[in-house]
Amino acid sequence: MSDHHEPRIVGFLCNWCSYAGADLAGTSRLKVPANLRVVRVPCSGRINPLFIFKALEEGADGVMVSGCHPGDCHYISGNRYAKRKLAVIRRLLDWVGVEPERIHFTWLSASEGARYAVEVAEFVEQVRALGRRNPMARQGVAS
Amino acid sequence: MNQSLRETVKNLFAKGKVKSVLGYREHPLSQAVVATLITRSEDADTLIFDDRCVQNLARALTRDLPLPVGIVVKGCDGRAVSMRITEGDFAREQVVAIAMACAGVKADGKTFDERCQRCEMHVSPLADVTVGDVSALPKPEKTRAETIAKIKTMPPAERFAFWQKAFEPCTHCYACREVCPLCNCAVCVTDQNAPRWIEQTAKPSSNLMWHMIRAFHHAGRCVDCGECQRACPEGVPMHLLDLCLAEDVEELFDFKTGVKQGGKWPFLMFDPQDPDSWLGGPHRG
Ligand code: SF4
Ligand code: SF4
Ligand code: SF4
Repeated sequence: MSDHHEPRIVGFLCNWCSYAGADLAGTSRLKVPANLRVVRVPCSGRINPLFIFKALEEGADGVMVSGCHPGDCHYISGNRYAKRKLAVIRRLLDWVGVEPERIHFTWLSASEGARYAVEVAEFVEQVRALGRRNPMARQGVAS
Repeated sequence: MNQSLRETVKNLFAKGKVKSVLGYREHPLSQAVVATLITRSEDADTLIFDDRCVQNLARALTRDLPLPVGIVVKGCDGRAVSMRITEGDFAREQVVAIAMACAGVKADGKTFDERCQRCEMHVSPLADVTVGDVSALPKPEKTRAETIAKIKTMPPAERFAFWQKAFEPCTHCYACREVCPLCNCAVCVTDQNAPRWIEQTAKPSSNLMWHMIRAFHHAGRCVDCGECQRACPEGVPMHLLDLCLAEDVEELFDFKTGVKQGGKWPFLMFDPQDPDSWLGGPHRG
């Protein structure tokens, strides 16, 4: 990572639990690193590998995905399908030489505002520790 | 083998089991082996099967063929047909699999294809009739694990550089997609333009996007027929990435494509016991 590159993280948060958790962190006035840009999705099961690869291509250094805890999914089991996709996405990234540590998956409920703040902070540091820009970033993307 | 294949096909027509048959024949002028569709019993005499029959005819299966359609399949081709039935492209009874005892094919006319050297399934697991001697088939000389080992042992930066170089000649002609028996999407993701997810220009980032998505879409679906790589005019080893993911899918979901009838693609189901450890930590020692 050249000089002082602040990691940029894209977060895909499900509407029903995790986004509400993030909201709670905000209304509780907790400090959440500004590195995270949130995209609200209806369900973690809605996440297509394209979203993640595109975020990385467009220069994100890490992608955080969060959905309801198992058993709490608004659509009953979208998060469980998501888990299978995410497992293979991580491995695919690893196969092509992109650190799987750039992807973070966590179950987060609407009441876990405090945990949300911690998860984000830890993930930002995890990505920073990789010590280089995301190699998938397309040429010309602002650093 | 040709004689018993022809007898088998005539028999299927006579019994009314098929209305058409997809198979191989020799082109009368060039002598090249080409795909053929026959709809009359007497044309069965044009059919052949030998080590020049490299094409995967599962690609040519469409619902506008006269059904039920018979299809001459090698082991890998049969797994592709089986997967297409699993995915609902065809009802089981619409397809009659004519499973050949396949010792291997030679795309270059000299040596067995790589897929054949590591083949564990010389006879299609989907078989309505079997032709040839299934007791005298070769054992694999290589394994998939050996094929992908070189990637596994590279450090991440080297891996990344390896694929950059591998994909560099790609012109996004999509021959690899056109030939694949499992690439049946009405509109391929790379052709979608609202939004445009994958740029169709040949440059490092879009090469990687295309080949990553292509590989992901084939996870748990690819049958290692090797057609994609054979079709590529630029010699891009894109199928290597399919092989990497095939290993993961087998390990994670205990799923081997097109081997068992019924069941579902592993991404269309889940097990409540699927471990959280899939989502974090190192997974390859
Ligand atoms: S991805 Fe390649 S090897 Fe796999 S089924 Fe398609 S054409 Fe065959
Ligand atoms: S690459 Fe993917 S979207 Fe395109 S045809 Fe193949 S499976 Fe469908
Ligand atoms: S890998 Fe080969 S066949 Fe596939 S799009 Fe690129 S150049 Fe065409």
